[in-house]
This record gives sequence, C-alpha cells and structure tokens, in this order.
Amino acid sequence: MKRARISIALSLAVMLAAAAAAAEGTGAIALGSKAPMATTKMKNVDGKMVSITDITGKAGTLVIFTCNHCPFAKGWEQRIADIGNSYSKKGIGVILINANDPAKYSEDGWTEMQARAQARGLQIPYVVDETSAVARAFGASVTPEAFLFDRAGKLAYHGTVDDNHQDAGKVQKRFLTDALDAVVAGKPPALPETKSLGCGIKFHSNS
Amino acid sequence: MAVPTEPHMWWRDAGAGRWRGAMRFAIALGIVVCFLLCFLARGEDTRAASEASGAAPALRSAPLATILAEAKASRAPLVLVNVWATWCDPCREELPDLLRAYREHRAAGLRLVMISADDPDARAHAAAVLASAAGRAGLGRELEATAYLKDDDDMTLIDALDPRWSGALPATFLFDAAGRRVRSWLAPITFSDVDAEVRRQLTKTSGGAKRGGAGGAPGADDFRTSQRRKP
Repeated sequence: MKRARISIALSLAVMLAAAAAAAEGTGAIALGSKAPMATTKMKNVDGKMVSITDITGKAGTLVIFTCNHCPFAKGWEQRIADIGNSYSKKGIGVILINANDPAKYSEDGWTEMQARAQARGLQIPYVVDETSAVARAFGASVTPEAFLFDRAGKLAYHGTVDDNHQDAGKVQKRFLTDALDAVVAGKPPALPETKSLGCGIKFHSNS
Repeated sequence: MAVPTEPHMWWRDAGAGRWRGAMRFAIALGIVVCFLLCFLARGEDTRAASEASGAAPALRSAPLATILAEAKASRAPLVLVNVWATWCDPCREELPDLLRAYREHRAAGLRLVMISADDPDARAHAAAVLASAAGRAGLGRELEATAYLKDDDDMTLIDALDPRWSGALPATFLFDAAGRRVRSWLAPITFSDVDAEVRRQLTKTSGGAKRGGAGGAPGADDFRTSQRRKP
C-alpha cells in the first residue's frame, strides 16, 4: 500500500514536471488544444477585468501575445488592431495579452498600453498577464504570437501575422487573416502553423 | 654707403599702403581658408571613422544554405551559429560571452557564424555593432568572413536551424563538421553554456577520431534544447 502511494506520488511529480517544462517554453500548446487558463481575469486597458472565456466568440477566439516595445510588435501593431477590430465583428472573440515584465522594459507598462490602444483605435481588449502565467500556460515565447481557436474551442492556427512585419504594403502571405477566414467559414486553416523571428517574451521572474 | 633696407621693413617703402591692403586681404583669406580646410578635414575624419566602423566586418546577405555550405567547406570541427539583431537587447548582452567562448576555442577550430536578422537598411549599423564588440573582445576583424545578414524568409531560416525554435531572438546553434546540429540554445547563452558544450563536443570528436569512428558525430540523443528561459 505504501509502495503504491509512493508510486502515485512519483507519477504525479513526473506529470507536474512535464507540465512545468511544457509551460517553460519547450513548445506551445498543440493544435487541437483548448485555451489554457481561459477563466483567468486580466486587467484591460479600460481598467476592467477580462478573461479569455469572457470574450470567446461564436465563430472562434483569437488570442495574441504582444507588447509595446518590440520592433516586430510595433511593426505589426496597426495590422493587429485592424484585424482584431475587423474580425471581432465577424464572430471572432479577440484579445491581446501583454505578458512582458515592465520592470524589464518600462514601455511595456499598462499606461503605455492604454496610450497605444487609443492611438491604434483598438476596439478589443488589450490586457496584462501580470505574472506571465497565461503566456507560460500557452507556451508562448515570442511577440507577437497568435493562437486562433475554432468555434469548438480547439486550437486551429498558431503563429505569426503575415510575412512582412516592416511593410504592410509588401505583404505576400497573410497567414493570420487566411486562417481567420477559414475558421469563420467553419473550415480548418490551410496553413495551421507559421513562424517569424521576433522578440522573446520578457517573462516575469517572480511566478 | 647706403644703408641696406631691412628686409622686414619692405612694406615701409614707397607704395606700402597698397601692399598693406593686399597683405591684410591675404591674411584674412588665409584664416578663412585654414578654417574651411580644418572643418572639411574634420568632416573627412568623421566619414573615415564611420566608413571604417561600417566596413568591418561587412555583412554579406546570404541564405542559410550558403552559410552552412561555407562552414562545412571550412572543415571546422564545430560551427557555432548565432542569430541576433541590433534591436534585440538580450542579443547584444550575450555578445561578449559568445565572443569570449569563440576566442577560447578558435584555436581548436571553432568557427563562429553571426547571422543578423536586421533589416537590410540597418546593415551598416549591424556591422558597426559587431565590429565594436569584436574589437572589445580582442578579435579585430576576424569575424568579417563569417558575419552575414539573413537572406531567407523567416520560416525557412527558423525551421532549417531548428524546427522547435519559435523564432524568438537570440538563438544559438552548434553544428559538427558534418553539418549536423548537435545543440540548440533557444534563449540567451552564457560563456559557460557554450564553453562546456564545445569542450564536450571537441572531446568526443578527438575521441572518435582516435577510435577511427565517424569523427565522434553525435546521435539524436545529443540534441538538447535549452529549457532555461531567460528574459
């Protein structure tokens, strides 16, 4: 009996260690996964507390980890705002999450988030992941990084916005909007995973 | 006996007024010309310094396939590939450690390949940042031949270096002489990270050579990704 308890405890420890490793950046959640920590409330730029569950759309849900200081996030900032504003009217719930520690870049603080949300005409929540716990649970590691869930709540697309962070006029492949169009139409995206170079998420170290 | 006119008194001779005017004009002109020459020369110095810093090392645009082919052709036993950018603070912060590790093992044949992910219009700036760091590390212009500007689309570069890499900068990869990836660091490195791994691989290589094996080439088990997540 005692041996069985030890065995169970060891198994649990291994599972927890594996989960922790997954959360520490050995990879993002797999396609088909549900959004982790979906009920966690995060502070929006309007001061209200919002969770992923709160904004879940009938057609799907788009979660984008981004920040204020990163040149890549800045390059895509207006396009992300436009995509969010546009697809939130097509049944996609959209939320932008800043998981960066503002102690590392003061530009990533909440006041700056408010200013940028206003400057970009953001009509969707831009919230603070105060301990980076949500980003860790997603296995997010770069900004910006998009996770698109279909109407069943399963991850259908994970990756970047398009193929040119610097110049919207030179974009040839619109990965995210192509995936969004597919999800809105109830179809799986043709290209479910993409990547781009970017800034590493500046994780809070106290969690 | 005529007293010879002192040479320096010539302007006191007849017509001296006209000469005085010309002299004053010449002196004024000289001052202006000197001033202009000094100013232009200073500008030239600035340009020369700027050009020198921008020229060493020159960042060639090259696709990863070319970069790795050049590395393989060099017959270096180990090739350390670092992807960085001037706008990436952690990249610049790890640079001294990276260059120190290279300096430590270059005699054993370690080749350091720096791939800048900067946009092409920042090529000169990236070259200057690298040249400055190399200078501080006592490497002079040694990295010129192996410093590049990326010339692939992001996904091609990322997946070719390591399919498990998200694309977050910086990232560092170690390849063996056969062009096989033996280690990835998907986070900022420290000197001891690279130093320990390079020593390990070099020991394996020399051990493999002594055994008459395939150069100590590591198997799939040797490929470990850094799980340390540094901001």
